Amino acid sequence: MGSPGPVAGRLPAASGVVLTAGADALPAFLVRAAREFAGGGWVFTGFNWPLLAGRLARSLYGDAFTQVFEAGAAANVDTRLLPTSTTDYAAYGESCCYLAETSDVLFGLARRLKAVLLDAGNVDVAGRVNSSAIGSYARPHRRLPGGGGAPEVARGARRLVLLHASAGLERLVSRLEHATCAPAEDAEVILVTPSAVLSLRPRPRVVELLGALEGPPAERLRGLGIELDQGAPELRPGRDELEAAALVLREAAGRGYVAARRWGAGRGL
Amino acid sequence: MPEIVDMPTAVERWAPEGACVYLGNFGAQLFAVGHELIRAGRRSLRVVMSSGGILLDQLLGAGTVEEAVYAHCWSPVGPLPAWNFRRLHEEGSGPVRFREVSLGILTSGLTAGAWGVPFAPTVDLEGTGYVDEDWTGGLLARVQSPFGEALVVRAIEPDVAFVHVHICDEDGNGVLRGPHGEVAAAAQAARAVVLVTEELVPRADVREAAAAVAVPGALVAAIVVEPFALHPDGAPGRYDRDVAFYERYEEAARDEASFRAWLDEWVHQVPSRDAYRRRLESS
Repeated sequence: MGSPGPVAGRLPAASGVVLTAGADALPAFLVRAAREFAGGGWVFTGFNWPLLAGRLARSLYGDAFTQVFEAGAAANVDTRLLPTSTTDYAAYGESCCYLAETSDVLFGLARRLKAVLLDAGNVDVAGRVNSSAIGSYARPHRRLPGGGGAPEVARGARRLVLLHASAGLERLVSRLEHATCAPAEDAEVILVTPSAVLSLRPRPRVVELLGALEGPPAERLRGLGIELDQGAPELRPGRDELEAAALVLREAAGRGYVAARRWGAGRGL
Repeated sequence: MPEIVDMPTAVERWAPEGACVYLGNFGAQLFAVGHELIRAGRRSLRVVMSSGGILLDQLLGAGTVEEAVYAHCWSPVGPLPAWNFRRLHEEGSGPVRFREVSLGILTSGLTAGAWGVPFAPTVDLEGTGYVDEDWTGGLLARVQSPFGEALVVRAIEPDVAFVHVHICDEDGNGVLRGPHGEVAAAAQAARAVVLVTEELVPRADVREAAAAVAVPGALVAAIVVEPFALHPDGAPGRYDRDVAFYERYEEAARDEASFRAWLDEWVHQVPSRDAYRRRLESS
């Protein structure tokens, strides 16, 4: 996806920042996720990284898009506070243009949305996500929280965008042992990571670079049999985009987001 | 007309041992109800909760639950694990029977219950563990019909649905301020509804907000007027989600002993939501 350009008057023309690993990795990851909101449309946001991407998108693109939540809500302006999760309704404030039921979103809207953004901590190259159990389901090594509404909205999505924030891609595997969410056969499935953006259909391949693809993430992708296309276009976020992303991460740290706190701790914030 | 009762009475009359209890709402959890269930010493409830969050975690840790139908269970602030939930699964769930559903499965099951039919169709989740590994414990089936094949969910019919509303009138017409989740289906599916309202208002006020009435009075057996019923979750326009409280709970729940101490301080030693609020204000 090429740079959509900033909303007129909000940001200077992007000069393009050449990303280096480390400092800019998570802000750049967030900038790339936020670009899914560029150009308007109705976009579903699950918990965690999708919520942060939506917050950043408001900063970058204003009120051009509508953000959809699984409980049955859609907001077409910025929420009053950054929601701590998708169920933090008090944080929505007066941002909603649509208040309805979970079934309306999961059954009625999912397949009509421009994109569905989901957090994908444990994901495979087929675009399946595991948020239920690591190890035996009956007696797991680690019990995960469950899928909520993600299974239905993932199945209904025409464009499923999975946000996987681990730098080394350790939890991207060839096939998950359990699948909580699985996309439809004909869906477009995108995996955004801090190193690269992959298209998973019809076969997994790198379609965009977020900096130089080298070290552990490159090794991981090679190990999964994914071709590293070093000629793929490179994300060149503007300095203002990265600073806006850093602001969102700082805000998120104050709202209890663990990943944002870890990022901030690494920078002495 | 519904009765107006206090929380202990509501729990005593509508959530006896063994009852199937829907605990609303999705994301805006009725901690006031859950804490009363714990104080009442319940040990064999079958709970139905969409976003279990830390309320389900507290009920599990307190030994209140015999069966849980849930779509997820975690601390939404972080997000971080729900530690009692994790321990039960990772160390052996003992007497608790878990049925993991998705929100769509839950909604479809409650809809079937609401319509008085044995099952309702839902989004086909073939390729996920709900279908392939029977995470729901038998709530799903595949049916053939002259119109095609469908994945269906068995009707879920709670004995009681505790539903939070922003305001309601004396007839029990309850207004939601915020998204509705699945409360309408749950209220229609349940044999009885107990509305837990932040505020009881004149009928005219509810008429003004009629489009936001999610639970009509025809379904309501009782009303509990309980301001601050959702804390540490937030109520739109009234109070925010208490991030610091969530974080203190998560830290306490990591360890069983500290969880018990937390439960003593915030549930067993506070006989009412008023007392809870006073403790919070002084802490």
